[in-house]
This record gives sequence, structure tokens and C-alpha cells, in this order.
Amino acid sequence: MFVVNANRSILRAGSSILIPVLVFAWLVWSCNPVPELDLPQMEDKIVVDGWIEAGDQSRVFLTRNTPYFGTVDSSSLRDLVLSRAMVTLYDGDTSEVLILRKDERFFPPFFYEGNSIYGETGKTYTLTAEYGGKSILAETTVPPSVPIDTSYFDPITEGDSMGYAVLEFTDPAGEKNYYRIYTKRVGVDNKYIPTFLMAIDDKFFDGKNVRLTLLRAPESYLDVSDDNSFRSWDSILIKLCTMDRASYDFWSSYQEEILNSTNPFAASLSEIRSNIQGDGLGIWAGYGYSVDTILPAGN
Amino acid sequence: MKYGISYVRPPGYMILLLLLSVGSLIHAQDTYELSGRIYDEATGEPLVGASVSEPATGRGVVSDESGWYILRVRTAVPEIQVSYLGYLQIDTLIDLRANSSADFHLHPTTIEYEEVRVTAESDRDFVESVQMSEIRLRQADILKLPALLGESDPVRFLQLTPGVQSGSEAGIGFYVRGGGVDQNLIMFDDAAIYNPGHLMGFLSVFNPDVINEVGLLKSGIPARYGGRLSSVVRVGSTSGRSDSLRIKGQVGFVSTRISLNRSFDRDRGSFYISARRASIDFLIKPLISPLIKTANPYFRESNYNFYDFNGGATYRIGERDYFSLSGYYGRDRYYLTRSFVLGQTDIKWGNGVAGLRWTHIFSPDLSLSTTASFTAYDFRLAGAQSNYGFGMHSNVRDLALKTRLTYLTGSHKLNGGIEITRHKFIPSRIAVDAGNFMANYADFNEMYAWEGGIYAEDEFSLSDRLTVAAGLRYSFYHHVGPYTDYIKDENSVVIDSIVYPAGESLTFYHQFEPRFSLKIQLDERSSLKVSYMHMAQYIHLATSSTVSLPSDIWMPSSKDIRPQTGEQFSLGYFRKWMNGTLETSAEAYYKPSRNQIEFIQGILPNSFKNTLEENVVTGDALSYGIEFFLRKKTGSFTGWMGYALSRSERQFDRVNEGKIYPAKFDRRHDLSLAGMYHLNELWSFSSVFIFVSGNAMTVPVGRYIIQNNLVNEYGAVNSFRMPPYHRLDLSATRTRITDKGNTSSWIFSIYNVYSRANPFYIYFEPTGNLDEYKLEVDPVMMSLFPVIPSIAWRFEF
Repeated sequence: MFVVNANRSILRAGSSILIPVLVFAWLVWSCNPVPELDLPQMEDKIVVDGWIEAGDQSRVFLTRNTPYFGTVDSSSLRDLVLSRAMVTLYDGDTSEVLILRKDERFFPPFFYEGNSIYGETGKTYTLTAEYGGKSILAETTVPPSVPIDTSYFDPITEGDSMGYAVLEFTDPAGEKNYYRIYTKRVGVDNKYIPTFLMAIDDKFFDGKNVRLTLLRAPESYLDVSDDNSFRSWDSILIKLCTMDRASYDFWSSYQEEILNSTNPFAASLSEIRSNIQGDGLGIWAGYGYSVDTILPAGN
Repeated sequence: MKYGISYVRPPGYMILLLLLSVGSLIHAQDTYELSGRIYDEATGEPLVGASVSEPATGRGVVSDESGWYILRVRTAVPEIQVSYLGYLQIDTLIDLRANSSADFHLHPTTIEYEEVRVTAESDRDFVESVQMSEIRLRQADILKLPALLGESDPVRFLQLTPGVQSGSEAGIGFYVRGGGVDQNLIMFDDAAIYNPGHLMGFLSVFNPDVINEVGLLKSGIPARYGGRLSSVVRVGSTSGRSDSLRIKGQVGFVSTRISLNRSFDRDRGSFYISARRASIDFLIKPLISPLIKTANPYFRESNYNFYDFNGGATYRIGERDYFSLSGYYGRDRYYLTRSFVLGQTDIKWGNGVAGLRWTHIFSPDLSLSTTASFTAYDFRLAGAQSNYGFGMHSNVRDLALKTRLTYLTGSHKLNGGIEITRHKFIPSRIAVDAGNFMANYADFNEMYAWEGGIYAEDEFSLSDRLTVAAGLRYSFYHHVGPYTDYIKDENSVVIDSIVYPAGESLTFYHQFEPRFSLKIQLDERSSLKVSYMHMAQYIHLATSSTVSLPSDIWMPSSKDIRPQTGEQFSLGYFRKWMNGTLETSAEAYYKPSRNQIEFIQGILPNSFKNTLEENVVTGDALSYGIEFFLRKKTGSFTGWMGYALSRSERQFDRVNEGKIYPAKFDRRHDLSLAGMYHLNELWSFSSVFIFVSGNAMTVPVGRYIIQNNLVNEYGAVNSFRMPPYHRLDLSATRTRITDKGNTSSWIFSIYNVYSRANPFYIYFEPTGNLDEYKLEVDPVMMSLFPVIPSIAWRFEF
């Protein structure tokens, strides 16, 4: 059994390099307002956050990027939504125009949804969008899904009501696999939320049985007051998604940006690797997936 | 003829024959040898580079790294002149028929000797030597400057000279003329040191009490040095000569140190030992604990400690064989005690070096110096949370042998030598431990390599005005087995592996490195110098961040990572004023280099990333600039003013869309002022002011939303400048010297007198919740070190 400790202790160990500096510098004395910054100009781009899962229609959120030091309030955030874009999907045989829908579970609450084209394993999907004279193009494939062997709740100490979810699966041998894992607490979360390390490469466990300890991540890293454990009474849905290399590149650089952008000790040259061509940023991803459920202890 | 003597002590070492008429008793063609050592009379430290000459013939030599000299003279009773900048010159007669060895003790020209007219002080080092871009400092210089929390540090001193910049406020990492921190060859008594920092780089590993001299070369580096592109820093340990046991040390907020030395066997030998440890854990933490919120778990559960030991000895057998042995061992440890919230972290690192040098003098013209040394650097990080563990380990082991032959003939000074180093690297070994299961990622191999150099150099005068130093170095690097090379397809899937047995060749690189310097003596007080050098560097530092940390990983060249190469052209004008009291120089340089390395994803092990090699991108760098330096070395007021105007750029195909961008250590302006004033025997004062352009950094220009999170869109690499850095430090030292010669000094210092909030880092902190449509991103500027007064007590008895 190959065990990957895909959890926070790795992050802790890595980022702990900076702790002694900060601790030693009890003299870190002030956080000052930054003087006038002479910043380079931003170029307007179409931001894509779209996906197509096996057996499901496509969903595409389109927004604009916004200058870094612009004021952001509810109205300016709503203004970021591109609600009048022309979005088309092509599956190699047919194409369709995606329709704007509203769903308050998401932010922004507007997205474009497909109708007749459903994700099929092995197929390549091409997305195009046009808005205000700008256009983007992106391609992705839906890889085969990998079944979950088992999943269970693992208390932090024996008998503890706090614990982590554990997922076991068998990585297909001899092929490159990239994973993204979500959890959803039934009755608590209103959608699947990516776990703490959200993009995983099989380079260290190719062809092996894998046991992953899952740390629950906040829905948004803007609000991290929540702890990273589950409770023994939670019913937890575990979703194991597979994706292609370009999607992995995006999500792994995305998670690095999310976790490191406020860390002065992390590399400064990393940038999010997008698979969107043209005047765009973001991700267009195809996923295969399998789902398993952890039921509360005693059930 | 008359021969005068300005100052000689102790007279027992030489016989002064003022009444003899020179040469009347011997044949003129006979040659005699005079050998010995030159010391600082005040401290007993040997003087490196002091000049010993016979004015009658114009022949002269300079003392070597241990203060030894050997001079061939024409007569049995020659007139000898011994001089060194900042010391009173000795003119004396020596009768070689009685004794062929003579040690000289030069007295520093401090205030109490002002009545002695300093007329013949030599400025050989500065204007007359062919070497340019050289900074030399001695222990006393280091101890005179104001120091943060009383911690005098030679590296901080170097950072105050033009062309040398610190990486960050607290760090001892330094950048020479736009070169990276790894491009400095730092040697402690001829043994290379890899990460010379304690306390996360706040303090260098060099204990000022055991340093005799520090020398820095920025350009025109002679062929005998190689392996780094930008500079050579030689730190020579003390071999303090003292008839009785001398003990000195310091008690301070950051560290406490003690050292002792004495000579033995009628001055044939001497030894020193020294120990130093952090004061933080036993002195500072208990003191400030009540001030820190007890709820702060990072503080409560953090522990920091470091210690180091130095030791060394010199011994002379007969008149022709000199031995010196020196060693250093130091460790830093930071750990968080076990807690559920923070997990457990334990970080340890340290250096160990040992070296033995043997110098054999065949004749005054011919000597051979051989050094065997061992260097070890280790970094270990262990983290744990609940029952999971994570570990990272990186180390370097070097075994080196160097030998150098020096031959003086006519006006030529020839050096030739061979150097060979066997490297063993573990760049990064990561292990994950989940209870009863342990995984070692063998992806990161041990790497074995041989690095070597063969060189020859000559320094000679073409005419009265022209002096040339020319050399050629052939360097090579050979990566050998055991090694396992993994062959991967385009998706990074390992499809095959090749196992190389021990000793089998993997990669071989080599370079010819020409070096050339020319000095044109314009008149007695001024000279013009030009130099060219080509350098190669076979090992690289993978820096993880914007600051220099012990977690930076040393990586050797391999088939994927090629050696760095670079050139430097420099031109300088040197002039002394007011009888040599003032020195000024202006130097310009142009410095292109290739195969520079950046790590695009950083090396912090925060995810299962690609191997280090896959993270490396290479490109070109170019630095150029001009430096001005003014220094007053003697008198009751001493000090200097340095200014550098420079630019440092990089071009990498895979960074910044291939466009040229400023290096992160690019600084347009760098001004430093240092002044020391010796008021009287009790009090002396010093101050330092620096002004440096802000760091270059990459900042976000826009932002966008992906899956409920805000992500940054970055502008051009390093296109933003932080506000400039400036700071004033003051210090006052009250010294009491008893009749027995015991010294007790209280050092009062104030760091950052006007409490400038200098930018250490600027980051962007988003707050709010997208679901509630409220979002703010605030730039936050972090500053270290406001005004900090401190007291330290230094003693010597």
C-alpha cells in the first residue's frame, strides 16, 4: 500500500521555514500602508472557469479581470460577470451555443450551460467565447474515471469526533494520471468543495494502491476560519476526478498561488498556467469522476 | 650611510648593528636569506600582505596568509624596511651572520602615537598593487563599526562597501556586482563554506574574535581562484601570538562567545580555541516572554539555538616548514514543541570545515603551499502533524586538495598550482512517514563529482609604469556514478532507468579561464588599472525565495544543468591624497554571464512537484555600473564613503515572456557612509548610514475569480520597486584597560536611530467573502527592526 500524506503537514513543514524568521523577529514591528505604487497597466481579458464532466453538460463561468487596486464591492463584483457573451461548444461532431443560467450556490451566480452535448470519456471538447471584440479558444478532453476502492472516517485520536476522511483507490499502471478531489458534507455544504491539496500527480504512486488523507478545505480561502477536519457524524460525499495534463498544470499552479501569494518566502516567478488561448485567462477542464459516500459512525 | 629605526619591539629578535658599515665584511655576490613573521604589535595577530624589502636592491616580498615572509638579500647585514598601511614603518639593520630569522611587530598608528611622524607609510596595497576591486579588513575594523544588537560581523562590514549589497535587512547573504549569493567563493582558511549563516542568516558563521583578516575580490580575480563567477571572500583565522594565555569574549543579546589563545614552544607555535552560542534561549526569551501575548503559540512553542566552535594551531618546524591547522563546527536548531494546532517542526543545519596547510620554503624564491580540507554542510527539516511526518534533507560533502608553487625570479612573480575537490551532494531528499509506513523518494539521487583546476599566473613589470598580472586557469567538472538516471516520456512518466556504477562518467564540462590585469602608474600617488576575467561555476544554489535561507539547496551541474560562465571587464582610477591618509578610487565594470539559473516553482516542498531539474530555467544576465570609494584609514577619525550606480538585468526564454527584466538584486543606487572617531582612551564612537534603492519585485496588476477564490494576475517580472532602504546606526564604546593589559569594553549601540520603517516585503492580503460580495485587497508592508538600542560587554585578559 502506498500512502500519500496529501495533507497539511507537508505544507506546514514547507512553510514553517518562515516561522522561525518571524518568531525570531519578534521585532516584526509594523505592517505599514504601502506608499504610492507605480504599477504596470493591466490588459482586459476574458476569465474562463469552465468544465465538462463525463455524463453531464458543460458549465462555463465567464468574468472579466479587474485592476488590482480597483474598489471591489458588491456592484463592481457583479459587473465582472460577462452576461452577454457568445459561448459555443464543439465536440468534434456537433456544436451548440451555451445558455446563460443563474445559480446562487456559485459565485458569480451566473454561468453558461450546455444543453445537448454531454461529456463522454475520451472525447475532446472545444470551447469558444466572444465578448466585446475579444475572443478565446480552449480545448480539453474527458479522461477515463478511476474507481474508488473505499473511503472512511479516520478520527484524529481513537474515539475522537474530529478526524479526516480517508480515500483509497488504485492508480492505473503505466499511464499518466492527474487527480482532483472534492468533498461535500451532506446537509452542510451546498456543493462539492476541492480538498486541501486539490491537484495531484501520480508520479510517486504510478500503478499502486493509494491511500489519501483528505483535509477539508474552506469553500473560499478568503475565509479560513474553519478548521480542516470532518466530524464523525458527517455524511461525506467523496468525488475523485481525473483530468488531463493542462488541467493539472492549471490547478497545481492555482493552488500554489492560493497558498503562497502572501508568503514572502515562496518563489516569485510562478504564475498560473492557463489553457485558454487568445484574450483569456483561466481553465477549461474535462473530468472523469467517481463518487463514494462515508456514512456517519454507527449507521 | 646611516640607518634609522623608527620602532622595533622586542629587540631580542634582532640584533641591531648601527655601527657596522654595510657589506664591508662579505662578498657582494653572496646571497642570504631572511625569514620570519610579521605581527600587529597591539593584538599579536599576524599581518597578511605586509611588505618586507631591502631598499638597497629594491627587492621585496609581502607576507603570506599567515604573516610569514622569506626574503633573499645581497648582504649579510642588510637594511630592511617593513611596512603595512595603518602601521608604523620599521627600518632596521639585521645581522644575518648571527640569526637568519626575524619577526617584526608593527605598531598601529593609533592616536597615542600621533606624535610619531608617519612619513613613510606605504600605500603599496592600494595604488601600487596590480590588484583592483579589493577590500581588506582586519579584526579591529570589524569590531569598531556599530553592530545590530552588538553583533559585529565581517560580512555586514563587506555589505557596507560599494558593489556589495545585502539581500535583505536581516540577511548576511550578499550580492557582488549583480551576481547571486551563490557566486561568492567564501573560504575559511582555504576551505569552502556553503551557507555561512546562523539564525536564518542574521549572523554569519564567522566569529569576529577568531578572524585575523577578511579579503574580498570583486574583479581581476587571479587564476588561483575559481569556481564562482562574482567574488572571492577569504576569511583567515587568527593565529594569535601571545606569550601568556589570553582570553577574550563578549556577552550580548544575540550571542555569547569566548576564545583563548597563546603561543608555545618559544613562539614556534600558537593555538586558539573559541566557542559561541545563542543567547536567545537562555537570555532573551525569558526576558521578553512577559511582553508577548501568551496566546501566541508560535512564540511560546518556538525554540531557537545555535552554537559554534573554532579551533586552530600553527607550528613551525625549522625555518622552512610551516603548518597550520584550523577547524570550524557549528549548528543551528529551530524547533516547535509538539502541539496539535501547529504540528511539530524541527529544522537543523550547520557547517563543519577542517583544513591543514603545509608551507615548505625551498629557497627565498621558491615555496610550495599545500592544503587539504574537508567541508560539510547539512540541512534537515522534519515536520509532523498528528501521526504523519515529513522530512527533507540536503547536504554537501567536499574533500579538497590544493597545492601552489610560488617562484620569484627577477621582476617576475610566478604562481602555479593544482586543485582538486571531490563533491558529494544530496540536493534534496524527501521522506514521508505515515505511522508504520515510510516512503523515501529516491528520485533525488546522491551526486558525486570531481571539480578541479590547473593554473599558472605571472606578475611582472614591463616598465617603471606598467605592471601586468596574467594567468590562465583550466577548470573542469566531472559528474560520475553511482547515479541512476530516469528516462521520462513527454508526460514525465518514468519509462526506463540507467544505472551508472561507481566511478562511471556521466557528464564532463571544462573551461579555459584567462585572467588579465594591467596597472599603469601615473605618478607616485595615482594609478590606472584595467582587468579582464573569465570565470566558470559548476555548482549552483537553488534559492527558494526572495531572501537567503538555509533551506536554499546546493545543486551540482548535471547533464540538464550546465555550468554558469561569465566575464568581467573593469577599469579603475586609484589615487591617494594627503600623504596617503586618504584613498580614493573610481571603478567601472561590465559583467555579462550565461547559464544563470532560476527556479520557476520554488523549492519549498509544498506539493509533489517535478524534480528540481525540471524546475530549473536558464538564461543570461548582465550587470554594469560604476563605484566610487573614499577611505580614511589613519588618524583619530577614520571611515569611508562608498557609492555605486549599477544595473543588473536578466533574460530568460521562459520567464517574463522572454523579455529582459531586472534581477531581484538590482539596485540603482547604493550609498554607504561609515565613520569612527577615537575620542580618548576611554571613549570611541562610530556610525553608519546607508541608502539603497528598493528591491525589485513582481506585483499583481489585476485579479480575477476562479471557483470562489481570488487569484492574482502578475505584471512584468520584477517591474515594481519597493521604497528605498535607509538607516542610521550609532555606537559608543567605553574601554577600560588595566595596568596588566586587561581590557573591558561596554558597547552601547543604537540600530536604526530614526526608526525608519524599511520595506522587508510587500504582500497583498485579501479579506472578505465572495458570497457576501465583499472583498478587499490590502497591500501590507512588513518591516523588520525598528530603533533597537543594545548593550554588549566585551572583555580580554
